[in-house]
Amino acid sequence: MKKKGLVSTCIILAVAVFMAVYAGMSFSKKRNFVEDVVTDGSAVTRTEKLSTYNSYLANTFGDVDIYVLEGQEPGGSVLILGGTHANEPAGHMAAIVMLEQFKPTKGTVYVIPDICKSGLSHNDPLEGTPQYIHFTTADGNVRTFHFGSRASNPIDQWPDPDTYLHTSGDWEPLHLPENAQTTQTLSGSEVRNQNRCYPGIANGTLTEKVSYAVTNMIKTLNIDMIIDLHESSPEYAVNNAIVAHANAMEIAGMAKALTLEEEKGIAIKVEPSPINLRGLTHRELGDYTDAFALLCEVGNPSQGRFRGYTDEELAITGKDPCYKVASEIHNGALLYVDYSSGDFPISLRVARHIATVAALIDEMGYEYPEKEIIIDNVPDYDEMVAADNLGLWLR
Amino acid sequence: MSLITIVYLVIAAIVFLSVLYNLLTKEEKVVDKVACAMILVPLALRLLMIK
Repeated sequence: MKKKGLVSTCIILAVAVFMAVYAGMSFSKKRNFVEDVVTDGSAVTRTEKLSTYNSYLANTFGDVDIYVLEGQEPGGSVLILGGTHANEPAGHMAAIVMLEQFKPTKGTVYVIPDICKSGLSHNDPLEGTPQYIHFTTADGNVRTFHFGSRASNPIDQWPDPDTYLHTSGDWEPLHLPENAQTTQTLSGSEVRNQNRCYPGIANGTLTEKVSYAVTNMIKTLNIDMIIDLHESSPEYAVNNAIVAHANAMEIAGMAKALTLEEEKGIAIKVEPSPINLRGLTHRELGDYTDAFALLCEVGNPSQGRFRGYTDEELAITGKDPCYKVASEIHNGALLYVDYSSGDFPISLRVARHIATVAALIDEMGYEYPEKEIIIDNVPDYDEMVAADNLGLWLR
Repeated sequence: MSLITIVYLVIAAIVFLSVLYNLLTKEEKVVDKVACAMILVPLALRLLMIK
């Protein structure tokens, strides 16, 4: 070792070691942080592990709990997925609120609030997003939840390929539309996008294994409907919307027109699932299973490109001065949500998801009485919006 | 852990050791030493599979 500058070298190296240890402890804590899902007093009758439907998932980071809420009377079944994209917190939180609040009297509700647990365990680099979000419950407890990344954690599957070739593995399509492809090439990082990996591969990457388990679960249990909960940037066209597979278009259309818009005054769009946009829940789970496949989107200012300073407050309140400016340009033509109020709080976003899920389930029961699911204790949309405090709906 | 992950970890280890060697024996300007140190931090975390 050279003698010149030895002192400065040691100081710089010590600072680097401190930074590595400090960052490493923060990352490691997030990776291992376990959210508390409160099932005491809820209608959860049992839990299963996702690896029940793909043995290759056992003892991996993707082997999450499936919460099962069974009514006393037999009926239809629905699977609700939250946390597909972990930087879309309303999808994750809506699933948690539903599993803690829903009380089915007829039929079965399956909830997986953290379907991409790997994505919840880290943040997107250079985005400046918070690691956690917090809510205070009615009895004063503070509950902590992950704010994660759009994609799985690279330490679970590294490196990404240059190009991700999506395939359907060994699955045989049941309802493939004419002229549809079953493969697609995407940018390499999409190999870690949970919602580009369906129907999944049993012994593929971790993300593909999780997708395979979901597909196999739906087929094994003959689940009637699957609803995947998301959020999207306010400037993204598919926003405040239900994306429906062709087999679920009628249900989505009727739920929108009769329940959401006419009865509750919730403006929402229905978008058809594109035939050749492969790997997504609303596409593949409709093509490869008999379930009605649907995906819900709601605007989230904390993930958009126009946003300013990004912190927990933005994730929860949706208040962003940059989006306010954007909403005033060209009469709001830059955005696909009404941002004239200057905010888009998570209580509103979760309330929209819950109202949409309830409307879709109700509509399935109207159209297919043998698939009816009756749920009590569904949080009221107007109450949630008025209270603007999501913690009141957490146990 | 897949074979390709192990290959990438070996590459990361070689780069880490090379940068550390440069920091300890070659670089004389403080700016260059700081640059070396900044490179070492993410490499160390990836070698330890912490993200």
